[in-house]
Amino acid sequence: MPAKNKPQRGTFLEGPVSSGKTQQAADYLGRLLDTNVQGSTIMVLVPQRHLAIAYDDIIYDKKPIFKPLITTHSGFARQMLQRFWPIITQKINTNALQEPTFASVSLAQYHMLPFVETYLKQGLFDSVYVSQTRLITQIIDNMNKSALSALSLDQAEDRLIRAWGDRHSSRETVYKAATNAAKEYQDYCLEHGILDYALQLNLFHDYLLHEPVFIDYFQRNFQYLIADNLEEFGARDHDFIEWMIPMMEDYLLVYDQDGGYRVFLGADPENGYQLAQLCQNHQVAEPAQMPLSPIITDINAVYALAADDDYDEIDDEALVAQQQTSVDMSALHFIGSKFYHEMVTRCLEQVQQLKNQDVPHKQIAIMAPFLNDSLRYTLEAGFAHYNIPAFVYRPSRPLQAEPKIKAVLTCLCLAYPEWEINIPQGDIAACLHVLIQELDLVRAHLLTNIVYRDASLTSFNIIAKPVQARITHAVGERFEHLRAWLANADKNVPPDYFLSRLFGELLAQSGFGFHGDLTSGRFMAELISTAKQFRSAIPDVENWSVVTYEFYQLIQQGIISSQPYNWQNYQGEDAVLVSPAHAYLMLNRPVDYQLWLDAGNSAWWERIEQPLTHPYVLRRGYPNTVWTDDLETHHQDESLRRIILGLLRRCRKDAYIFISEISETGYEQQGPLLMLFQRLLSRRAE
Amino acid sequence: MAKPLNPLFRPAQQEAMQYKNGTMAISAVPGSGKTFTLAHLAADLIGRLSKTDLNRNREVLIVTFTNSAVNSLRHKIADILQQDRGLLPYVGYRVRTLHGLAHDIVRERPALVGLSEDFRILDDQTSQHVLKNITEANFTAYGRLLNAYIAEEYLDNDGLPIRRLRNRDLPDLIFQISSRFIKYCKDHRMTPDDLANSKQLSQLPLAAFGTRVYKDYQQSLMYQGAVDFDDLVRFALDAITRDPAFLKRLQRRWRYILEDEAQDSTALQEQMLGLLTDKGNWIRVGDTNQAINTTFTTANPRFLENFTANADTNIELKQSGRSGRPIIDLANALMAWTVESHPIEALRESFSYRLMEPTLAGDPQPNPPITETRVHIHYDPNASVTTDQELDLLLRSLQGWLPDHPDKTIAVLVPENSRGFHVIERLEANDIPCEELLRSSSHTREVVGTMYTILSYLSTPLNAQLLADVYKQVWFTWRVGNPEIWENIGDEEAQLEALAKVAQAIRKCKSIENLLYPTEDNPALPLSSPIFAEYPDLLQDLAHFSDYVSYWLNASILPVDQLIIIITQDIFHDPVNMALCHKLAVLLRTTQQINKEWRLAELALELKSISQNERRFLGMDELVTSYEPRPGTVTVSTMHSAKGLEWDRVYILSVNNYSFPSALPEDRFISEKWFIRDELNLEAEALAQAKAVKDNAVYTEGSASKQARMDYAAERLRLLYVGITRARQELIMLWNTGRFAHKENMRTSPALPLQVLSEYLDGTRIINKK
Repeated sequence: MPAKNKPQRGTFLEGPVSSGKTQQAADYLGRLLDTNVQGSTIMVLVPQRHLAIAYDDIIYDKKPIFKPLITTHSGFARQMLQRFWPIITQKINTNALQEPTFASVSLAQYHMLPFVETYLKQGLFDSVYVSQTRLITQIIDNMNKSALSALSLDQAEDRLIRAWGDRHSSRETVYKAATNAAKEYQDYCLEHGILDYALQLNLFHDYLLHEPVFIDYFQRNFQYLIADNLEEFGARDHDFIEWMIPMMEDYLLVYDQDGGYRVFLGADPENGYQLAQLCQNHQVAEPAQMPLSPIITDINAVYALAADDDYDEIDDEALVAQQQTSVDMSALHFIGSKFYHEMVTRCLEQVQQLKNQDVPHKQIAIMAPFLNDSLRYTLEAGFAHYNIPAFVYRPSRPLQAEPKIKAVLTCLCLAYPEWEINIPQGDIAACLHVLIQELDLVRAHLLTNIVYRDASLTSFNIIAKPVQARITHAVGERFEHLRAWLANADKNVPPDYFLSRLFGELLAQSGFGFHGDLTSGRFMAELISTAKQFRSAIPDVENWSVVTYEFYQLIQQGIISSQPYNWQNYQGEDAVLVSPAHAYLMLNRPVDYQLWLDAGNSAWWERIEQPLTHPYVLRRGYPNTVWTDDLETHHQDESLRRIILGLLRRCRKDAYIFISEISETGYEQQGPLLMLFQRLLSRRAE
Repeated sequence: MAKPLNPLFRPAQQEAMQYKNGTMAISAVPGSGKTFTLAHLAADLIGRLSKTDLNRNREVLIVTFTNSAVNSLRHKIADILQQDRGLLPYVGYRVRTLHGLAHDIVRERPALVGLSEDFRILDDQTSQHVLKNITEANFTAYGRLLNAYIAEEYLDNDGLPIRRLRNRDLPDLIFQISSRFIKYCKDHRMTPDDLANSKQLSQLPLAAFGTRVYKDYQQSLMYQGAVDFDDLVRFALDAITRDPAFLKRLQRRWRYILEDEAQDSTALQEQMLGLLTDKGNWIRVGDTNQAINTTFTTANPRFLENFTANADTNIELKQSGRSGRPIIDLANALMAWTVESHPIEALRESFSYRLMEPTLAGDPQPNPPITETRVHIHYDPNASVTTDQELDLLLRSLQGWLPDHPDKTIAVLVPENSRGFHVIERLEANDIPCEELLRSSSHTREVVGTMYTILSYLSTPLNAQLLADVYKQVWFTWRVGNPEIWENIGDEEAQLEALAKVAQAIRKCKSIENLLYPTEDNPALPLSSPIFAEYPDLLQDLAHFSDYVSYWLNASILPVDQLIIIITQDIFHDPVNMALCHKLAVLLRTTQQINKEWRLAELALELKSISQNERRFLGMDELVTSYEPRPGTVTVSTMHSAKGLEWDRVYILSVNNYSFPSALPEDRFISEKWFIRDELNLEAEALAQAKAVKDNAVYTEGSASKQARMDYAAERLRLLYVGITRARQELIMLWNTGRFAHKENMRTSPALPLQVLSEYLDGTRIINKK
């Protein structure tokens, strides 16, 4: 702990969603700025950068000369590690002359690959049915969660083994192999100055927070702290807050009572609540009353009933009487369908109806337990039909699944003929169709059939004049431009240079596919940034073609994938939001109308279950015991409760619940969410 | 207090309805109303739970054998709940196949068995495809392991199998053995490592071979994060045995478990349901005499027999109202002869001796009158019947009978699909209305064919012929555009004539791009035909068509499943077809994930193989609606698929000693390959070796092949029994000399039971029925 030991002050503000907590905190920030506190001495700590919009707005309004620092814990750790890197290099075995490389998840996956492959070849992962990519992400997940809970890799392994109990002997081997791969990977990273999320946290906490030079720096620079969404932070984040508090003049900690949606990423709401003890004032914000408020209360009552251990002993009549309520459920609408497609159609019709009632698009949000490709495209096609703007938010969608990114990857193959990748004609046609404006697929096939020979493109000019006319000369000109660019571009440059130039000099220009398409431009920026990260990790490159080829392969295999792009810029967009329920909660964007799709699906209740990692077992406070099915159901029930309440509290007017009797895959559906609604309905007094 | 008698129930059924708790076995002869009883009992239990378990997720679980049975039972229960009891129709219970149940269980706790939450399930066909790829890729290595079993005359001078074997027969055999071996090991929860660790393995070449393929296959699944159907079942069992608390939760959820077709229960199903019920409230319904899925599986009617022997309550549904008395007599005669007098003593145990009884007077569903019941066996000891002649006989019989009986239902039952296809061809060629219950129904194939037509075109958009096909087979057939345009043209003949002319104009189109994507310079449709002058509306229809096709083309850059969904919404408005297409979308997505280099053209070919019946695909007609025979239309079905169904008149074809062997020396067996030495059945021997490893027991070559003959012959006897008991009023049995009748040593004879029953009918043989 730091030497400075100020008396406790500070405020702990808790309350449910929509009780105005963040606004209160933003007002507090505004007041600080108004009272001549130097803005740069204020730190606003949030779990994700996009959750700081209210604070950005205040800063924008007040326009202080020295701006407060709005950051995440890992963002701050990165900044400090960079600044104090020479100190760190004295303490770890790394090249002091080399700047640290901060690795994204993609880059971490890339570096992890060879270590995992070794164990895969030895058959040590044979008892788990997980693709190589998922294996890697789960091991990285373990490292991140351990770092967030301040557990060593050995401790994490020990916990996982104990939690597994003696159920299946080969699982221990798997956990051990995963730990060994993780350790070897981390040794490699430290040696080369590559710092992924876990290493950033570990180095920051293990070395910098105890370093007098750093403590002094911190004390001189920060005196006020606002930490919002404590429930979405991990225990190590809370440690950092605890570390800062004694050095602060004042601080405000904000806690959402029903939050904790990032548990699967290592959030530890219970641990966060302990910070209340470090605050002099404890305030509780009351929720705003909304049409759905009575239902929220009733859901809590149902949960309380279900939690009653003696429940089975209650006789039937008493039970029925106990269940009777007269809750007004008029703001909750149930819309049933037999088949999945019918359900989606009805949802679209409902949106259309709301539109006809002049509801602004951005006041409508559609959510589903998960948003697969088919649902996305069915909805998009429907919205196009009704001429309704929609924004589909899928933070975990892989880059290579986007058609325009696929086309860019095809361009890479064309530009580097030495890779000897024989692309099917259809892919070339699709690439040209996507990248050249006004080139339809029929003409694209016509063009491809003639110009695509021996895995490369020949000139438009060799085509017979009548056929040129069919393809159109405008298209021909653009094609020639594309072809010439690919043929003449400097290939012996890093992949990000190549992609940036391809984008800037050609594809973003008028007449080409990225022109005027901001969303795709964002994907391209992601691709370029990922390429940059990738190549910066490769030392002493002689032939960039080889590096670019490796990058291409890893993208294709999904070893390298995208990062969630920044949602911030879409907040103001007037479009219906479509999102997985969980992602919607993390966006924290309340709306007037919510439409819940597929209420019968059991995925509303199930957690993302992965054999190599475990969000609860790796939480700091988990007792070192076996993870039982009772614990599993308890946490899932609780998680479902949080999701339902979180959604309903973000709904200002009506919620429409869509139920498909038969799932997409042809089974009848009776998931726990549906059963809960059934219970709510059956509680209505006759 | 006993419940009041329901006039719909027979006394034994009423007795079953008195069930309160504990184990209950219901043995039911064919046509005794077992599904009816089961559905009512399930509804009764659901009603009980709904009164007392308002706040808990308690359910009645019903497990049955096929998807069609799941659906049929589900609808029956829903109807009873809604109509008789005023309850919500689909709440408080679930009906599942074993695989469906296993999926539910694994889905809840995938990590318990080493799966991620996004694990993929490969359908049978796809997993077979994966296995085929592996066996083909490793043919040389695998094949070497089998050389010791090839008969000497089929080995060349280097001791290698002759070319013909290498090219065709051996790869097929390797695949078949591998497939059986892997299934057997999974059914017995043996992993490749379990096998590999056995010291015996080096002495057992087939097991060593199987272990190697099994390991390669599992690794391939593992890399894809996928499981097959058999994995699902063993994983479900692993999950509930590994985590007692999870099991307890499921036990609390499924207060009552009802199992239909329990005679087909496999060892794993028996184990799983035993655990889930904790031997408590478990009701099993079945008929061991209808066990027809036992060959090469762990299914065994003995499981049901043992359960019955120890059940708290035993109910026998002996009265059958389905068939007329002479048909019941014939089925009983088959059983009595087998049990009393079958020349192969071991086969006398093929049946449990349980004769059918006709209904009593006043029964709500009485037997058809004796006067309206006929049985005919076409058998003359001095005459042989070729396969073509058998079809001629069938055809003549149907042509003579159908016009006089338009209100009757008819079925032609065949032992194998391949024979069924010939029957269908022949009936269709002679304009006899028919429908099939073979691998996939014609309806499923029609929908799949539609999607194939579209994808074929989208993969080669310059092909005018394919575009014309889309116009004819999709746009016109499914009336995607404005149907009034076509109705205004005139009757069907006029419409078809106009359609042919438009299609021809499309075929001749020299610039498809202008048809689908007209530019400002060329706004007009680039087609000419006098038909457009005659019916100007058709031009409008064509423009509409072009809009749709260009829309689909634009979507063709999306993943194939999304493309299919988009197309589906434009073409189909019937939920069944939409759901069927969704299944297709999922199938093609999985196929593409496995074959990453495949594009639309290859995926379209995959659909073609389904639409041409080369590949099985579970259609929605099996999933959504149970089959109801239509009067005046001939159903062509395998005898396996006919289970649970009935028709007024039934023909049973190919009752010869190949399809229904009796384990006599002259009988040939489908699994004994001509190029394998000592008449060994290598599939059976491979499983026997796996068993020897499992039990650490001695393996004796040849025993398994002999036992396989017995098992197969016993099952075929029961299959014949099932076939006979599908008939309500008329039964005709035929036989033929087989596909290879021209080769004397390959010619088949009438099956022994056919001869016996023929003699019984003409009075030359007396069969005493106890």
